[in-house]
Parts: sequence; structure tokens; C-alpha cells
Amino acid sequence: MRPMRPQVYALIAALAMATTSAASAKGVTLVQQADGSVHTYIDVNIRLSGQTLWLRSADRKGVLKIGNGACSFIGAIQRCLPYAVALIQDGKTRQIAILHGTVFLNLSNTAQHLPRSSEELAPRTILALWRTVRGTYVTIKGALDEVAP
Amino acid sequence: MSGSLRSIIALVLMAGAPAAALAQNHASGHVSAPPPQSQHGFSFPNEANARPITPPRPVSTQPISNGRSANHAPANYMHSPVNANVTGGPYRGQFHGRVIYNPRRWRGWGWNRGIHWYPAPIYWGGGFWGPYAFGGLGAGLLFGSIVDYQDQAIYPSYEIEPTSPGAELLQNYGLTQTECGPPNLVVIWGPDNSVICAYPNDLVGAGNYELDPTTLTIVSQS
Repeated sequence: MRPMRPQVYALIAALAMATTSAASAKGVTLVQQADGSVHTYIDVNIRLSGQTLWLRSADRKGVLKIGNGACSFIGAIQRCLPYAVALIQDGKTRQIAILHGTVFLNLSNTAQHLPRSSEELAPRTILALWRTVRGTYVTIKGALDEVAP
Repeated sequence: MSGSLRSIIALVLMAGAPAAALAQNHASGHVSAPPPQSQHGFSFPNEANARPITPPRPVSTQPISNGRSANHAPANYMHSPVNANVTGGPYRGQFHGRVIYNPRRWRGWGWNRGIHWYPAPIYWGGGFWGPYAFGGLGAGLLFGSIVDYQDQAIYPSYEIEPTSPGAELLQNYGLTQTECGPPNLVVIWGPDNSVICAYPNDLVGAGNYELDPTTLTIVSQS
């Protein structure tokens, strides 16, 4: 494994800043392009409807729809496989082809350890990591603002 | 805020970040501080022309069979077609034999805490055996194959991920996965024409089986 670069530290810092804030129930989304450029989105609204995640940008101009499947449990952590991602923005819907990824959901009322990790997911929190076929990495973490059946 | 101050804050707050995020091997860059925020929705400039992908066949540069068995296929054999609605490979529709009920006696989705499970289309075996996407099989370990000589097709098998539903199935039946290819193995056909093999035991004898992912139950070939 290659050593982490300063940019990765910055990404992690941004995640931590957004997820350790008790005052906000909003999430943070990091989008890193294949060329290394990064966009950070904070105060992202996260909604879970069935097995579909909906992320809405803070300016309400963009929505990411993430279809998950093959969900199963590891302890109390629910692990799903994202298979369809759509960007709904500017009146258009664009499919984003993903290569692989995992969505972890802690829908319980207690913090849960991530599998094979000492880290915890806070209650009603998600962590999603995926990579597109074009080399874009997307990391999402945050408390769920809404859960619908 | 100066760059150095932001860097210090970044390092201090690192402890709160998830290990899974740490594990991400992102591309190189030269940013030393939290990156700027986007102001207009989400930006995916490199994905502008991206369209839904058609899952490619699970071709690998690794050897398909270890050559120890009759399942060593000629090079011109085709990889099996991927179809989320098809199971059983060359034995499709022939599983009318004995039902070997799961020793855990799961009911409905009980094996998954009552939560509905359904295949994720682009993942091998619908994600039942593990998370490996077709385009990313470098992360998955090829584990032999089943060769259909009549239709000249190859059904590759992959190592089951320890935390997958498939691993739960094997654990329930006391089975241990092994490389497909040798004779006299338990051969279990799953979603998307996926297949895995295991050593027989007192509960499950050698032969072909089809699984029901709703109950983690297997049915033998008629």
C-alpha cells in the first residue's frame, strides 16, 4: 500500500470536521477526481429510503441517488453494495457508472464498530465509499437526516 | 486561516476519522489543507459522458483451472453469460431433488435480521458471495471453475468474502470452500450463474445444488 499523501490527510480532516460536529446532523461528501483534484461538500442532507440513499447538496442544487443492493448484516452494521448512482442536477439525470464500493449503515441507537476496524459508526450514521469506472473516488459520511421505509 | 494552522487542525481531527476512509488509496495530489467547497450542486466533471455500464464477463488473466482435473477447459471456451435472473449454469431448471434445510432453520429473511435481500446487479453472484464488481476482479481471488463441455462455457468461481451472505451459508452447513475443478465436491449455484465449491460433509454430499438466498437453503439436482 502506498503511503498516505498530504491530500489524504486533508480529506480525512474535512471528514472529521463535518462528522464530529454535534450541532449538525448533516453529512460530508468528498469527491476526488482521477487527477487528484478534490471537491468537498459539507452540510449534505442524507436520506435513506428503503435501500436507496439520497444526498442533497447544501445549496439544494444537486442530488445524488445511490441504489444499494445485496445488503447484509455484520453484527448491527448493515453493509450494502452500491450498484447504481445517478446525479440529478440542472434538470437532468446523469448515470455515474461505479466500479466497486461499499455502504455501511448503522441504524441502531448505539455506536457500532466497523468490521475489521477499531473505529466506530455513531448511531444512525452512514459511511459510503465507492469508485467510479473513470477513477473518481467518493467518500460519504454523516448522520442520517431522514429514514423512510 | 493560514495553511499551517489548517494542517494542524487536520492532524488533530484525524483521530475522529473512520479507518475505512483511511484505507482509501486516493490518487496523488499536492493539497495540504482541506480543499475548497463547491458552490453549485455536485461536480463530477470526469463523469460527463458516463453511462450505465453493461457488466463485462468476468474474464481474468489468472488461470481458470489448476489443470488437475477434467475441468481444464480449452482456450476457446466462452465465459458464462451473466444474467441476474439465471441460476444453475448448465444445470438450470434441474434442481428438483432433496431439499437440505439450513440447520439454522432460518425463516424468510431471518438470516439477514428480517431485512429483505436482493442481488446487486453488477456484482458477481449478485453480491451474495462478496462485493467484487465485475470490473474490479483484481480484488477477488479466482477459485477454480466449472466447465460446461456441451455448451463450451466456463463458469469461474471466486473466493467467498468472510462477511458475505455466502459465508453465512457455508458456516450454517459446516462447509469449507475449496477450488472448483476436482470431482466429488459440493457445487453450489447462486445468483447470476455464480458458483462456488466446497468439501462434502455429513450433512451435504457431493453434487450440484441450487441455493435459495431468501432462506439460505440448498436443493440438490434431480
